[in-house]
Amino acid sequence: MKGKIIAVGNFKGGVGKSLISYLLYKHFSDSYGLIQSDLDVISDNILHIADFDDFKSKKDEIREILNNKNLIIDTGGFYDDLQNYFFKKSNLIVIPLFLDNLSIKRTFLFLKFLNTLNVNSKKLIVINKYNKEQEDIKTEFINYTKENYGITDFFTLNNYKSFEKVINTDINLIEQNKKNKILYKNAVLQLQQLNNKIKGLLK
Amino acid sequence: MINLKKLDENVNINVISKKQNLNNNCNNIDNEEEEKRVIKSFTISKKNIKKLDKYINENKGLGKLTRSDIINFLIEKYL
Repeated sequence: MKGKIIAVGNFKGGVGKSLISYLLYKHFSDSYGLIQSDLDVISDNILHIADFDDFKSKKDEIREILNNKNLIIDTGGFYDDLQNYFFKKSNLIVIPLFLDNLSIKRTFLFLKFLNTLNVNSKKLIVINKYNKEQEDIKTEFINYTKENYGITDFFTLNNYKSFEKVINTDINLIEQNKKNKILYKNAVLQLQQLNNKIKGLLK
Repeated sequence: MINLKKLDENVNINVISKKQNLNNNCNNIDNEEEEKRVIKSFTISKKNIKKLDKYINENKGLGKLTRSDIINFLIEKYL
């Protein structure tokens, strides 16, 4: 299998796990397959897995994806052994968060939890919905997390609304349409940079 | 300014293993007894049981609530 496994997780809900998973899957579909446990994103070729039994029955499909592509696992709906299994098996864990109290607290909990599982995968923290007013807390958070959890890789996404819009838009077509290009330019650029960052970490 | 050290120190890792054990042990919550069992195992206040009741009632009509729906709700409220 030449593909790598990327688990997208955090114990805080609504910080963009499904959004980031789906955007990467949709716009770089040559590189990624996608597993989801929730049915909130319905699309062809997304593998939905409900639990361990379901997972076992779909192992052949998963292997087939991994023969050609990397596999993104949106762990949003898993709070069980299957989630732990995915974290342990992953080459990279992408951890989205917002820079608010609750989100940061849950992220610390998540990082502690990964330590208890002895997960050695690389970790990428994606600071989502960032705005310039959060610069101080961002710097502080990055320093704290580096020092206390040994995380070295961070990425910032600051155009949340555009990401939601770009979900149903073909970025190849955006390039051809001047109006769309201006509207989505920043979102697409950030998405491409995130993809490059992930590819770099998977090497 | 957010006090990161304080947030970090207030995190209780045992909560997660408790919730994961619960989730591993319960199947789809499709009857009242199962709901009660899940709620009971969380040892939550009467006020919050009312909130959970409201959540379950609001979502019942939309189709069967799954264990992850309930667990997610409880985690959002109690972590």
